[in-house]
Amino acid sequence: MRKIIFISFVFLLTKINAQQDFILYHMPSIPQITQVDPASMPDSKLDIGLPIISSVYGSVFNTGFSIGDIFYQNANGIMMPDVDNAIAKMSSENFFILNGSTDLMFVGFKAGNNFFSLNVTEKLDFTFNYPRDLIVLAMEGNGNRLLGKRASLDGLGFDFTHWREYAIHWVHDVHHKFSYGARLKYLYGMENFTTDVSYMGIETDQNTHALKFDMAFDFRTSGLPQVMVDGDIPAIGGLNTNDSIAMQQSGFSEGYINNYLFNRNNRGLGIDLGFNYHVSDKLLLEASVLDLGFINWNSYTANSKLEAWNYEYDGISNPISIFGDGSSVDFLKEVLEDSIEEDLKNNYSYSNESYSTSLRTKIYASMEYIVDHNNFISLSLYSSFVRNRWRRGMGIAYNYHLGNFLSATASYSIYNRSYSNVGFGLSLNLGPVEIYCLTDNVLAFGTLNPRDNFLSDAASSINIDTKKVRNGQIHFGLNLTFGRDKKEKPIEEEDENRAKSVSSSSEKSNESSSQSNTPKRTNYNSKGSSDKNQKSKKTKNSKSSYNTKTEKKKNTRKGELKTKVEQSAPKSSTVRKVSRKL
Amino acid sequence: MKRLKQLLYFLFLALILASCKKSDQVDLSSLQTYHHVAIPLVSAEIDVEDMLERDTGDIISTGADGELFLAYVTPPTSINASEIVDIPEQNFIISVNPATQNLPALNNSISYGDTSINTFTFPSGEELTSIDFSQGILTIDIDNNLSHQVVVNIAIPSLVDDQGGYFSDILTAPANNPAVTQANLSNYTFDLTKGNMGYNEMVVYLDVTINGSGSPINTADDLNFSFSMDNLEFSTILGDIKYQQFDLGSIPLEIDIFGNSESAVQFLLTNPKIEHTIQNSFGFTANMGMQSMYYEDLQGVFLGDVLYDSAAGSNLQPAPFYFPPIQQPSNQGDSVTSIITMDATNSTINELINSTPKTIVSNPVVVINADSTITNNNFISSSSKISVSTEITLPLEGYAGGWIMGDTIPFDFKVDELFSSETDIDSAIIKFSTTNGWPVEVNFTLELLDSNMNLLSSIADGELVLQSATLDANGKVIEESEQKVTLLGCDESCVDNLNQTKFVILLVTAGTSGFDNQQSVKIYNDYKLQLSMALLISGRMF
Repeated sequence: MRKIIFISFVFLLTKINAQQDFILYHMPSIPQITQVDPASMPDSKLDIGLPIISSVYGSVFNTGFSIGDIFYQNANGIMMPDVDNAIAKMSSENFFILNGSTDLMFVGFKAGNNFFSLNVTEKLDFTFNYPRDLIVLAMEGNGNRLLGKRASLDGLGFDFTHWREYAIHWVHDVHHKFSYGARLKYLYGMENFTTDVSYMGIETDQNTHALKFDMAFDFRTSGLPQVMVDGDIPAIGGLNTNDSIAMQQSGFSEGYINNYLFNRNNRGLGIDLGFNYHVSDKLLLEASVLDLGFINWNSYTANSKLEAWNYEYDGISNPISIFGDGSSVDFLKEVLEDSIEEDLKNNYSYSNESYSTSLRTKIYASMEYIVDHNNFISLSLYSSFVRNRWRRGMGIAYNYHLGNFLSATASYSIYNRSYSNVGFGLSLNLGPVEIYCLTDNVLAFGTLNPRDNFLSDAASSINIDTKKVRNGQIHFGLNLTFGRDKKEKPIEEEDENRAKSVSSSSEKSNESSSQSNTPKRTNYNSKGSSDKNQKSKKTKNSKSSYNTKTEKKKNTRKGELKTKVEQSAPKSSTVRKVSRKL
Repeated sequence: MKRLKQLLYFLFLALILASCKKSDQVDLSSLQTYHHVAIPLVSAEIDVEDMLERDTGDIISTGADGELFLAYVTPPTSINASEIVDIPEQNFIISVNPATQNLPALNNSISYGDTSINTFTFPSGEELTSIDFSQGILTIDIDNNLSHQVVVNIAIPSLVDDQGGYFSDILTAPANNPAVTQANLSNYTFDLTKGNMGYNEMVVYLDVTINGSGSPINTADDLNFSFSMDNLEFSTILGDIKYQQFDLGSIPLEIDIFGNSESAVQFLLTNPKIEHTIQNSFGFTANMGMQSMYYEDLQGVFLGDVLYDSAAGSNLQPAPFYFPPIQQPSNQGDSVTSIITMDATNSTINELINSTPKTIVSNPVVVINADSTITNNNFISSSSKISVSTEITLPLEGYAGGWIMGDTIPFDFKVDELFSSETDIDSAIIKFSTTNGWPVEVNFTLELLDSNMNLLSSIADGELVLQSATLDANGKVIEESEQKVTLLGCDESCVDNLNQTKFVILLVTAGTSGFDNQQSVKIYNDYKLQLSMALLISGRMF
């Protein structure tokens, strides 16, 4: 296992990229954990998400660089581009990703060893793929590093999807040792922009500066307004905004909003899968695969395609015309633009075919070390596929529980080739009301320097911290949760002994808790119904006796866990991932 | 366990503190850019023919082997048949007194016959034997002063119609009254050989019958026959046209090979020539010559005579001189072309063709039947003519050095307006990239002038931008040069000047390869020059 972990760790450090919601993965007190871990069983028996505000998620990731990477302040206080550093930070292809989602509806409840939930979630996903040479071109032009080379803009493109998810979720716990879950999703698409094919190169000749263009693209859109060029050439988008009937059918006319919200013919299916498995009483493995699925786009579709196009512009053939006839820079621009435009038209086509897109599948894997009843350390791995590229990330997190009242997680993660990602999450339970706020990177808020930029009256300056921050993310919400097991605040002095304590009373309390509560974690010692007798003896509020001395052998245990676990398990088991019988 | 937790707390705290380290603050509103932008300006493949056409117009021509030459052609000058022979209107009168003695009364008829030979004269003393009329009117008037009716039978054997018959008519004039008759002479041949001389004579037969009215007739009573031939045009004339000289007038021909050249230290085209092309469809021999032939500068100042020796010897003489005879066609309707060449072997024109623009002024003359002591057998048709065209051909074969060409060109290329109002260019580099297939080397100077034509700066000062191609022993290019890239730097102050520039002076100093050794080079139409001009600017663009 150690070898596998080591290899995985080294491998991931070679290229670590986009991320979704690391810290939520370590916040079991929040019902929305099932969004990233479908096999996780929430603490409460009944969860109701308030529309929209129960889960508001937003994130922005930039894999290429941070602001601190691309600018520096010179001796005169002027910000200048730091091209060398920017290039060093970027790979050949980079991504700028925006995600957002909110739950329009969420209801979940436990039934025996199962947990069921329903959710309706509005989502949007935006990805801008920018090659490194695009930034070089923008920052310093074609006359330095790119002179004599092909500026590769291959892969340049946008992907944007706005869709709604109607989902049924189910988790089943098997003897507290193993749990698995799945979420089936019906998808309703509203807008999409997909870059299917995109390559583009601009080569500047070293001596003549002749510009050689090679380009092809295939853009597909659905639900976007049609944009015309030169008056009558449809460039992109399939919805004719001048067509009143189309505007009504699409729901963009006043009084027809239902057509937009419910009647577009863009449908799809998706599934999330996950499992949790207790390797031992100290080690929990979790894995999930999210967003396996697709959407078929049929409404207001457009396909804008440029076949392989090669063009060379090497200047005006009549030297005199530069100086004499045209006599201006505008003339030069006109010649260039006209010649390119004419040639482009010959290779361009536009149609209105239907098409399909896949969801961006994400994979989580986590290994959690259970320090004690209230302290957890986890290592998480994340990967996804963005425009056919495998993006990876990893993080470590520390999770602390203070009874049912508070759950806090701090994390450090590495992704998007960024090492400056410190996360923090907090959830508070105020009776049935649960408030939570999570972020994978608190540093992002500092980068924007909100105190100076938003709170002060400073006039024109826009001050930012040149931190190496590439990622920002926030997830917050408000839920109504019912049926949480009550816990007492752990006593610090006793805490270190808690795992050691083995007493007959604790055995009894453990048994009683098994009987009265839905199992939170896998019961390693449970053998199906064979534990029923023990469980039946538990009392609901029985607690661990942390003052009881622990047997010396507990830390070297290799064999069957039954006796020691039974002896050390607290009476109540609301703390996630700690076996009831600890 | 407690120690482990403490360690974990410490590690996380340290990590957070490290990550939260205060970094530099910068003001985004002070953001500036600095770009290096490479722009292609010109890409041209200039073949020598294009280049010369631009400078010399349509005088560039290509020979059979692709060699190029300049051809200066004068408009053709011609002499038409109507200028050689003009047939004037002809008039003559025949007066007859039928009575040899006075008679108191004439009651019967009497007849009287007469033959008249009339000689025609022509302005240049031509002796014509035959004229085919294409038009003309013959008018015969009878003035009858007798108190008797007169009937006249007129026959003109000199006028032969197309059937071979001669002209005849009967005209009746009442007593003391006139009578007139007319005839269309088109399609008549006027045979002027029926008389005694064998040329220029017209014979008329008159047979007069007087029908007596009983009135008296006196010896003084007469009959007058008036003949007139008007509106005469011929289709063919035969005879001896005699010696005639025609002046074709003064013909100036400006030779300005490279109008933009400022000067040339040495320049020589080694094989120029002048060709006079003469087409003759007259039936006589002719000689063309020059009444005068000299050259002068463009201000009209005489520079010198062109010397010529038709025998291609060393006896070169200034005008007037004559060229060898122009041949005549054997048959009517044919035309013969004669080409008379003046070149380095028989004239001094090779000394005239250099870089200095000049005008050659010539005054050609044409002489026909130059030997006035002999009788000529000429023919002329109405469409006959002699046309003369002169062409000066300058094969581009020679050498040149220190040849400076310049032009002032309007220029408005503000680099600081390339992208935005914020554009502020620090420096620029102009790149010339050339691959030369011409046998010339070119140095380049670019001067920037403001709106008042004041010099702002000079970007290049005699920078070599073209290297000559490789030549064979005959001066023909066998391999083009390798690509040569010339960088002309323009620093910040130069860029400032560039922004103010309204005119540029392009000064090109060119010389043929091997000029120092007076190596002659030949210019062919497949010589090409690949020229690229590019601009690299650095500075703030936005």
